[in-house]
Amino acid sequence: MVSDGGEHWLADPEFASGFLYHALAPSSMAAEVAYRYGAHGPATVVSTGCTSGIDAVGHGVQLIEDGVADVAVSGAADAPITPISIACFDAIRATSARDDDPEHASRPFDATRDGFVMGEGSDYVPGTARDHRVDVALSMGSGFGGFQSAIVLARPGVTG
Amino acid sequence: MSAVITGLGVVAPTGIGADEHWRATLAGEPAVRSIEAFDAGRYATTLAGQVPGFSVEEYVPHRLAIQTDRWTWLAFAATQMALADADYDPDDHDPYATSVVLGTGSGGNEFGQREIQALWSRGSKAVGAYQSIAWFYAASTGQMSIRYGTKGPSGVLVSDAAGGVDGLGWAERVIRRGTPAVSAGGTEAPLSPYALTCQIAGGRLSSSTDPRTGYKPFDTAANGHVPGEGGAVLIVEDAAAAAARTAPAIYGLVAGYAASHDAHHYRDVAPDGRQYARAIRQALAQAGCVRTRSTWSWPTARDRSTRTRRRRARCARSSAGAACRSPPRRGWSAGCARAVRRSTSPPRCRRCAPESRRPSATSTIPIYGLDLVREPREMTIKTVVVGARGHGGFNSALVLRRVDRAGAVDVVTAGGGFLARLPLAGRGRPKSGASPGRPSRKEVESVGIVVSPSFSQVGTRVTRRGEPSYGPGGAVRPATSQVPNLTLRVVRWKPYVVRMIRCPSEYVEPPVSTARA
Repeated sequence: MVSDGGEHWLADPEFASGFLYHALAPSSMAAEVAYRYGAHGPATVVSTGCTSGIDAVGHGVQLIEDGVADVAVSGAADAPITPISIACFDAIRATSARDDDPEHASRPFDATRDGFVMGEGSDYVPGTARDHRVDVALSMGSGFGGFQSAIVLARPGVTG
Repeated sequence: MSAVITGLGVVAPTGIGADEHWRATLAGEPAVRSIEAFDAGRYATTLAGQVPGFSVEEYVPHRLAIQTDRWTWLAFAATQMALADADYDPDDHDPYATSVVLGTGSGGNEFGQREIQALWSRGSKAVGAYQSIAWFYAASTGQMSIRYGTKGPSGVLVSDAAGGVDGLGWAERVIRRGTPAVSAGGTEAPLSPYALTCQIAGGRLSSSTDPRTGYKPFDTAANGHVPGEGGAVLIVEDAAAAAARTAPAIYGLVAGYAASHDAHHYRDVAPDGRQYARAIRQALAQAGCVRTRSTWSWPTARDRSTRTRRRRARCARSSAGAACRSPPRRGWSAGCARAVRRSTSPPRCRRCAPESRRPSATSTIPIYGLDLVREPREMTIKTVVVGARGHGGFNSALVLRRVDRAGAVDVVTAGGGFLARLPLAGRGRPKSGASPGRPSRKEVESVGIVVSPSFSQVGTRVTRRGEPSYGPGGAVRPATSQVPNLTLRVVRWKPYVVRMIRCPSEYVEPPVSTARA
């Protein structure tokens, strides 16, 4: 490693996967899903921390209201359980210290709470324009992490 | 309710501040230099667009500077300049009357690299507390909102290089939904060793070491992408609110916005650009620039008269220029908005002029049928389209127009990029004797089309077998087919005039340029 174990301000491309940029830029979430399902409508990642899921669904609803899309697939996904994420949330003491009691570590709204427990997961909902005889469905994205990213992915309108 | 741009803040390799950026752009000054922040000698890419002389202390309080990444510093600077330019102080307004919508590509990668190195070399206790708020994508929007006390509906958009344009499109919607002012745009600082490594691993970066020739987008000799840092923040306001507070300048109207996705490949943009063209068409239609077939009868290919053919040929002679600015990621919209006031089309970087098979005394490039702006040129252009494409297939298009102080749409805009002449709805006066329903020449307006070069326009690294290479190995394929890949050409004299033409491997003279009168 050119950084010699982190001593130098360098990183070595020789050890890098060709997909590393794909991992660096979270927009690859939206790009992957759009590619997988052939959706040509507007696609974007809404990343507003823990509120990303609701913001993404709200964005999808607005796309349908504006007539930009007939169907919007909205939701959130996050996988923050990595050493750096755990370490930095530990540093600000946001996470629970009850490491020996997993079942009772997460106790929101409790008088004896001492922090949150990191979680991962995803949830996506399709929203459809009303004239497609399906009402717009709303749901929250899951996940506790502050690194939550969400995507909104819309199918083009029939006139597109 | 319409959204107008009242303030510009630019932090770019071409300069800090909209005036300096515009001056360097008009002068055609190259902004690509060797990487100075660290020893890049061991990397395959040694060139980058770097903001010269950026002083953090000037824009960011010390306490905030140690809590945030360089990409957020750039946002601080751009926002401060934009607010000053617009003479807009959020404190003078209801906190809920101002929003922040910023785009980003990779977040605080430099901050993240430092903390990750600390984690692996010194253990988890060495990770700083601010890592949790510095690197993630909402940091810039959040920090701007906190600093200026803005509480309007905000957004954080990540759509690679299209994020800045998306931010302005969102701003228009936020205004339409009732928030009078939005600070919108995007910044990016992807020049940390880690971020550079990620981009090098993708195999798309130029391996040239010569700053003068290392970055040649749209050129037949293009040999790869060059990363750049910087960005722009624009103050977008409701036109009535801006008029009520007598904003010092109204740079232009956000007249249309549309986005699409290629869904062509999980990483590459589609070579045919069909979805990109669709986004541009939709944005133009939203701005009222392109009439639909049902509302206006146009001569079509079925009209065989000589007169029609000549008219069609005239339309096809689009005046065009290709801007070669750095960084390739953001700042385009701000450049256009500056151009809106100055009525000058900025030239392409002189040292990067594409080679022409048939050099002409005029600025026309015969092989592409494009009129390239090599020197600043005073001209009347009505509308500017800003296009952006992001890694993975994101396409966004924004249409900017000039407005006068009364808020009515008026004329004269200009911008770097391809300039196509498009029929614009509802303007001009029919020539006497012209058959009703047909456009007069006055109704044909030049539309500046500014496109940020995406990976497909800057060369592709290939393996020995000629397949795209995404690893560090492989050679960069000489980009013989780069310009037509993104040629927006007026193909026919009909409503949907903007069409993306896929480039053949060997150049074929397009029929429109041979029909020149």
